[in-house]
Formats: sequence, C-alpha cells, structure tokens
Amino acid sequence: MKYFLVIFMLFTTAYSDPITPLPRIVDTDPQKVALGKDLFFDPILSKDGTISCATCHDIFNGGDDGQKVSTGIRNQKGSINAPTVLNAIFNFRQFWDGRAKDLQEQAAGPIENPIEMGNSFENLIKKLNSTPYRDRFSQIYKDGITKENITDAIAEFEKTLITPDSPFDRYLRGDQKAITPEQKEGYRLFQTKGCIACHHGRNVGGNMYNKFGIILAVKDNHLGRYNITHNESDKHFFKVPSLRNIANTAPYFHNGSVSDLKEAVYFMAKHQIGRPISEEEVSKIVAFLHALTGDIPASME
Amino acid sequence: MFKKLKSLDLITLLLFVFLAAIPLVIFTVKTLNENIRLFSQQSDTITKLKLLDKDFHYFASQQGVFSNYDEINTKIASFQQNLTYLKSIMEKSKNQNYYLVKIEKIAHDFQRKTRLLEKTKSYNSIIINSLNYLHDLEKNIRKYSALTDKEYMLLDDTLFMSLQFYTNNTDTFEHIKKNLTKIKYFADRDNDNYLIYFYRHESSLVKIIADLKKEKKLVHNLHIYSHLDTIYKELQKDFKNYLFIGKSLMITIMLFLGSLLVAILYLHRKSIEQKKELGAYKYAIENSDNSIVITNLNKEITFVNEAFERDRLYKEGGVGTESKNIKIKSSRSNTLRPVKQST
Repeated sequence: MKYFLVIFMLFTTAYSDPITPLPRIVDTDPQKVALGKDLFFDPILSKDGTISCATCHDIFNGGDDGQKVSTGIRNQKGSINAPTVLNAIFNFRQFWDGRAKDLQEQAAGPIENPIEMGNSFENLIKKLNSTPYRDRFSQIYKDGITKENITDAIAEFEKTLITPDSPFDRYLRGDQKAITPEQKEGYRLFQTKGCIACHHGRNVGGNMYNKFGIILAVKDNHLGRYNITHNESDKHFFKVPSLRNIANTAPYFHNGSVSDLKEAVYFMAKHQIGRPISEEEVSKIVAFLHALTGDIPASME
Repeated sequence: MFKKLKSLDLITLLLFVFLAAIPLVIFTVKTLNENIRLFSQQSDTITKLKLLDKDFHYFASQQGVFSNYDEINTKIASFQQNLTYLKSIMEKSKNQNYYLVKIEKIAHDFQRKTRLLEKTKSYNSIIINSLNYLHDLEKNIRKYSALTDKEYMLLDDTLFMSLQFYTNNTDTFEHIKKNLTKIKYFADRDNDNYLIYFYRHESSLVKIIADLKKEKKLVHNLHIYSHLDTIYKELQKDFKNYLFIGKSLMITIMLFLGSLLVAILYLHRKSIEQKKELGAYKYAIENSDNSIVITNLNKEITFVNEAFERDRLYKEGGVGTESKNIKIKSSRSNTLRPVKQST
C-alpha cells in the first residue's frame, strides 16, 4: 500500500514549470488600441454618461474598483466583485462564471447591463455617430460604428493591459535576486500547501473553474457557473481568479467578502485546500504574492 | 467569316486549334492543383483535429497527473479554430452538405467534451491536492494519533480503496463511505485534528472521484474521432474519384493535343516536300527551251521564262503586258498555283 501511494505521489508531483512568465508583448493594432483606450475611459458608453469602463477598472490601482461590489448608473449596486482587467487577456474565459469566451464578448456585457451602464447598443451607436468618434471609426472600420467594432476596439485596448516583469517573472526568467528569500520560501509553501493545483499557468490562475468551498462548504448565494449551464454539478463553481497583482486587488473573492490578503490566504487554506496553516506560513505566502505585482501597462505610460 | 476560314490552310487551322486548347490545359491543371491543395488543407486540418482529440482523451483519462492547464486551454482553443476553418474549407467540397452535417455533429460533441475537460481540470486539481495531503496526514496520524492498530488499518484501508476507486473502475464507494463514518467517530472521540482533516479530505476526495466518474459517463458516447475519421475517408474517396476524372481528362486533352501536333508535323513535312517538288517544276519551267507564259485572269502576263524572252515573241511585251492573243488555260493544276503566287 505504502509503495503504491509513494509511486502515485511521484506521478502527481512530477510537474515542471507550473507558473510561466507573462509575455512582454501582445500583438495589437495601434489604431484600434488608441480608439479603444478613448472608449474605455469615456462615460459616453453609459446611458446617463456617468460610468466608463475605467470606473470599475482603475488601471492604476490593480485594474478593479476596490469595492465589494461595483456601483453602476444611478448609484445601483452590482451583485458581484469587479475582477481586474489587468492581464485579463490571459484568462481562458471572462467573468467570474466564464460566460464570455473572450475580451470582445466581455466588453459588450457591462454596456447593456441595466445596473452597470444601462445602455443599449442602438442608442450608443446613435450617440457616437454624432461625435468625432464617427470619423475615427470610419478610418479603421469599413462599416463604421457597430456593436462589433465598438467591442473590438475596447478589447484591443484591453489586450495591452498586461503587467509583465513582476519580480516573480524576473525570478522565473533566471534572476535569482529578483525575489527575497522570504518570497522564495513563500513560493515553496504555495506549492506544497496545494495552492498551485488551481493557481498556476502564466496568469497564476484564470485557466480553470473550481468550486468555492471545496473542503469546507461556504455559505454563499452566488451559484456561479450553474447560472450559465444549469447543471447541478456546476453550483458554486467560479473561474479561478488570477493572482497577478493580487496585492492591489482587494477585496477578494467573487463576493468581495474578504478585504485583507492574509485573511484571504487563511480562508483559502481552510475552505479550499483544507489544511492547517501557521501565521508564519501565511506571511511567507503573502510575501510571495506581493512578488506577483507587475508594472503599470506600457500603454498607460 | 466562313469564307475566310475556308481560305485558311489546314496547318494554320490546326495550329489555331492547338493554341486554343492551351488555355484549356492551363485551366485544367490549375483546377487540379487547387483541388489537390484544398484536399491537402482539408486532410491536414482533420489530422490536426484528430491529434487534438487524442490529446483531450489522454488528458481526460490521465490519473492524478498535474499539468499546466494553459496547455490544454490552448489546445481547446486550437480545436475550435481548426473546426471553424474545416467548416469553411468543406463548404468548397462537392458533397458539402454531407460534410457540414458531420461537422455540426462534431461541434456538438466537442461542446460536451469541453465540459468534461473543464470538469477534469477542476476535479483533477482537487484530487491531486487531497491525495498529496492525505499522504502527509497518514504519516502524522501514525506519529501523533492515539489510534489502535486495527483503527489505523482502517485508515490505511480507506486510503487504499480511494486510490483503487480513482485509478480503477472498482466500485468501492459504499465501502469507503462506511469506513468514513467510523473515521468520523474516531475523530470526534479523540478530538484529533489530524483525523478531522483526514476525514474531510477523504470525504471530499471520494465525492469528487464519484462526480468525475459521473461526468465521464455523461459524455461517454462522444464520436468526435470517428466522425473525423468518416469525413477523412469520404474525402479521400471523393478525392480519388476526382483525381481519376481529372487524370482521365488530362490524358484525353494531352492525347488530343498530341494528335494535333502529329498532324501539324505531318502536314508541315508534306508541305516541305511539295515545296521541293514545286521548286523542281519551277526550275524546269524557267530553264525550258520552250517559251512559257503565264497570265492572270485579266490576261496580264505574270510570268515568262527565259526561252520566251530569248525568242522575243513579244518584243514590246513582257511581264504586266496584256495578252490579247494568248488563250488562257485555266490552270487546274494545284501545283501551278504556288508558281503564280511566287511570281
């Protein structure tokens, strides 16, 4: 029995490169990026002209809004924590429940969501056509302003919102001094405690779904992926979030229920990986998580 | 027009047909090439999809092996892209309706397979995590817990059965559940944290393994690979037929052109021989001791030979002079015609 278990363990742990560095460049069309950037920061997208994409995705502060749930037009409160837009290009699906297959599909969501921007594309296209956006769209797109082209331009800009060259990326590329010994120890614990089983890949997450409350159930009204698939086994399944820039994206989880990173690690250890964890271990893991903070995207400099 | 065509000699006519047939040859070769390229693109794409499907099958059946899921995500995206591409190139095929129906079936099965892959990713992570931890826990329980040997054996047995349940199809689920009830009792009795964690992980692990098996059963009858294989075989059959027709057409055209070429060469050779013959006649006429005069239909002299000039039958006459007294014999001989023309 013992030998069988040891051989099995060797199989399960015989992995390499669980986390890979972020690419430094993503191919984009500069004209579309410039147009998308202006749209991203323009509240014209919302029905009453008060909310832009940047309202909920502050690129200079972690790429989210720092709120438990976001605030939309007429001060309406959303039902879910805004995920960061930084490095979203590297997520396998978009939104917590993964309902959008890519950034372009995602970009259409908030514009028509009644409690976010509350607009319609028909109205938005009419409005944009009476502004200088009309000429700018015509210069890039043959068919001018359309839903497809608006979301395409925004998505193109969002592709540039990457934060490569974090200390951990530099460490992965061979710079042994890029992270501190405490962070190195934190990374070791991150692996041995089992965090890596879900948070891996270039985005340290964002490449799978998993249940919120695997080992210990969590009282949570959000049904997650079930709302999309209506499969019983998808209840409380969410896209595993990326841990890149996690130190700047509090509050945490889809419900924004935890605002402190240490507390979030404790919570994960208890409910997700079901292991006891000491305060010292948590501090080291948090130190490692700080090494995942990258630079402000080059397109914003 | 018809008259003009009639006035063309046979060689010119054949040459005209030959030249007119060349664009047909080029068109046929080009079409053949395009179809060969299309078949190559179609079969390459099908092969790629088949390989990706094999990878998916391997991924879904691998037992507790950690891998970076970015790789499988890239493959899922690649399958989707290749399937869309295959659909677009199959629309150019002869039996496109048949192929498009098959591709729709593949797309439908692929959606279900993606679901299985997603679940495999999720559950695999949980299983790896729990198995690794249970291994650690088992060591600690042996060291620190106050279990009797019999109780410890129960733990050992439970863990072993879980592994069997995971790696084989052995249905040990009910047995594990019974053991878990006992372990929960030991944990509460001894208020032992290690045993509590062991119970939690074992319960979660067994439930996840059972769910994963259920998911696999839900999607057991997927036919992506066989659909792709059928498309490939049909495509090959269609292509072989097309190639046979194409080849036959090319052979026919080449035979026709070859025959034309042979005919042209034959006529050309014959024409050279005729020219030689006419040259001999011309020589004979020019050097004849008899006076020879050739006139056109207007009775104008078009040719006189040396004997004629020598005899000066017409002192003031010569080439271009109207010949009133000479009866024109309608020259029926074809061989004279070139002489008239040449003078």
